[in-house]
Amino acid sequence: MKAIASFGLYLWRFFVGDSFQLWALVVCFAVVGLLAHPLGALDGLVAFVLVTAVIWIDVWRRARAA
Amino acid sequence: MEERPLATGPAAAPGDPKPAQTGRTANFRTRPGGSPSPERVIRLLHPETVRISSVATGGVRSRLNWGFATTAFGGSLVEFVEAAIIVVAAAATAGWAPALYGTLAATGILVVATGGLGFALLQLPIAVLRGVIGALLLLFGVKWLTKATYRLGTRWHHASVEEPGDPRLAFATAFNGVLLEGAEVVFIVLALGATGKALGSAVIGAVVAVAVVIAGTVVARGPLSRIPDVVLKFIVGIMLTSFGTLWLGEALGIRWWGSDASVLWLAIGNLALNWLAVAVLRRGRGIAAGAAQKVSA
Repeated sequence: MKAIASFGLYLWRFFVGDSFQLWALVVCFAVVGLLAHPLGALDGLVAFVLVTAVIWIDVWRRARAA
Repeated sequence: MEERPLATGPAAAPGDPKPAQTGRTANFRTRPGGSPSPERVIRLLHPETVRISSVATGGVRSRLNWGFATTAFGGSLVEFVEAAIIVVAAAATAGWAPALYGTLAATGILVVATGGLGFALLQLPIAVLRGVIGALLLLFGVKWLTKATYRLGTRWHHASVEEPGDPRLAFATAFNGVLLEGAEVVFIVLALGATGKALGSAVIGAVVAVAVVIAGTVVARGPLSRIPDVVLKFIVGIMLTSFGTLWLGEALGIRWWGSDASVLWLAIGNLALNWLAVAVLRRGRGIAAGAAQKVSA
């Protein structure tokens, strides 16, 4: 049980430690989830574009910080 | 996820309701009168294999039901290949031990759950499991892909001294992938067993599928070990991001072009756009280095 709790804590730190990605993806998929039906066949493309945008922005942040 | 017309397969049950509007996940939730029928579960997970099975079963009567064994083999093979990609991806970052432990842990849970619950497992909400695991894989994948893209764009020449990945993450990634794909295999086998009273044949089909995938994975190990770490992490990030986007999207009701095959265009798109990011970073570095040389001269 202690090992499971420790592993859960590790995962929490792993994700929340870099909260930009976590919250950016939460916002992206909240938007896609809300728009899934109005967007119709485009919703998959929108999800893909938003995830790619999160990756590009994070790479850009790293490059600026370096 | 696209909705397939239920009437196209000869195995369509006469009592099935009309399809819902929002695809696989909604079908599991919205069937009036409770849980989906076993026929419906197998048609929703792998409609193509049901059509193949319907042809194959015509007139065949033997102790091994070849139609059901073939259906189970085809459906399970797809799921096991997806699981193997994720396990190999996890192993590529932190070694085979944590990835195999994750695989064994997930397999153990599936064996215990299947033995304990049996056909009652068909009542479990696979869409919820798909959404949770998709979200976790997406987070792992984006993290790895961001890091690998940045390093490929800025420190390509130091790729060989890349630090090893975290074994706990490799464990969690393999565990999640095998748990979800394994659960889908269990669903397929149980659904076939309940439909045609051919559980033994379905199990044999699934066992042959896992043997084929394990053999393929063992063969692929050698070539994979010769790829630089940072490139492997880049590929791993692409695969996990693609699977995570697909599964989380499905759970949210997104209809993907080409159903599960859309993981291919997601992977190709991720590869193209992240390689473009690498090229932009390298170009930026080159311009900066050139400017620095001019200043020093």
